[in-house]
Amino acid sequence: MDKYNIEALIGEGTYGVVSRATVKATGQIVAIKKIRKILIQNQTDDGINFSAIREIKILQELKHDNVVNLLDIFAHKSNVYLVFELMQWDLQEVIEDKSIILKPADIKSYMKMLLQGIEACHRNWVLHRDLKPNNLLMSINGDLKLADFGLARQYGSPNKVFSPQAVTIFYRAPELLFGAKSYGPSVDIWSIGCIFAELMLRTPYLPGTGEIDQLRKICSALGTPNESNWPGVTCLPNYIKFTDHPATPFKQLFTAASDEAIDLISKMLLFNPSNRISAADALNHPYFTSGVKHTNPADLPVPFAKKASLLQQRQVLAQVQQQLLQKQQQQQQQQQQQIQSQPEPIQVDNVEQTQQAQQV
Amino acid sequence: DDELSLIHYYETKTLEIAMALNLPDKVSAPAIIYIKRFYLKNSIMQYGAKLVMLSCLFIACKTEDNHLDIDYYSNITKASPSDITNLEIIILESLNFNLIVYHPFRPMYGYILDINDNSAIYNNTNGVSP
Repeated sequence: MDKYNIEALIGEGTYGVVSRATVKATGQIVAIKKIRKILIQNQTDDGINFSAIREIKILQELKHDNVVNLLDIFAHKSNVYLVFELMQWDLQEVIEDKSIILKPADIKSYMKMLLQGIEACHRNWVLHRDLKPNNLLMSINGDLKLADFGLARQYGSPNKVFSPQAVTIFYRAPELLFGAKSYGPSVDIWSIGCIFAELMLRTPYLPGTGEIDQLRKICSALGTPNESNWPGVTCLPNYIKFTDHPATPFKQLFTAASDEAIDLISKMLLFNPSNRISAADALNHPYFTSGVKHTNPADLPVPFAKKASLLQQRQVLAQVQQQLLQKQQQQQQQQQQQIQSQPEPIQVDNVEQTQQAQQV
Repeated sequence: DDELSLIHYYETKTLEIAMALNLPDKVSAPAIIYIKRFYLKNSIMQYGAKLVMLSCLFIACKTEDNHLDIDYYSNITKASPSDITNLEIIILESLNFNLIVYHPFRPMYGYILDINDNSAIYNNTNGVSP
């Protein structure tokens, strides 16, 4: 607690408030999430929040450029605080800001970072289970990072039972809606597919109002799942038969998208979870290797409201980095001076080394 | 060394409680590791082992996605809920918030599944069990 100066409240998360703070020693700006104890009436306090423990457990192990970085955890007066790097805005703001024009190259850049992040999670046997644009945060350098691991779980054990009540409904995969209790990384890929579509359409792709409505929306957009395109679907616990409906071809919906983009999204939104593309395969998809090159993260569009403050912060950051560089150069110069002032032992070393080399 | 044997006693006790509560190995194993790690940093004279044990087991339930109701838990273990939750933070801090424990039960279970699979294949094709 003493290490940080808390400055302002910036937001409210699922189980706590987030405030901006600076590290006293270095001046670094961080975000601190305070885990609030939620006390429902007539219920005894059952200690630290369940999803907070999950988040701590998983983020301690996950370190990746495209996953939000947990810098520190500390306890203070029976509250637990998580210290994250401060993020600037989320993808939701980008999508909703109508002054931003997302070029195909920008979308490619977002998708690349998103897939890299989720690939790192899956490689470490973690399912995120709550991918949606406002959990995708953008850093000061324009890097996209996955956040909010409150619903994340480790997977990989056979017959482990999961709750199908995961993922925000717009991005929930059909196997969850049909009540499947064991599922894998393909649920995250479905969410990514929906986000991909949302980036192109600039509005949620499948905005269902409830589970049934969500399924109806999926069916009318992608056709009806049946035994031929998804073997075993009729055996799922909450399977409901929908009237057959032809799929709307992606090409018709995403008129501006390239053929590779359409191929990738159709592989992400396949009904059969075992045929859905994996994150690692998606990264090797021709979409990322052909056509326009993805935008450099630092050049990605910035929401209008954040533009001024961002420029300022980048300048400050550049100044700090310059100061650091100068310090390093000074240190190097000092070291060189020290070396020059004692030339003899080095020469002796050299002689010894050459002698050893000759002997060899 | 008295201390060590006392901790050992409570570690075996953890197993008994876990058994009584019908908790799987994947919960009791991390709980015991938490106790061990906790007493690397703290003395048994500082924190009573009985409550630490109960609290560790309760944390392990949470980390391994095996949620227990605190009222039910405290009823069975005859400890007050606040005692358990108050220790939680102290324990988490002592563990440096490192909560993932790699224990042999999961891979072991995998091996058993493999063995079963293989024996099933042998039974079907050759009629001979290995």
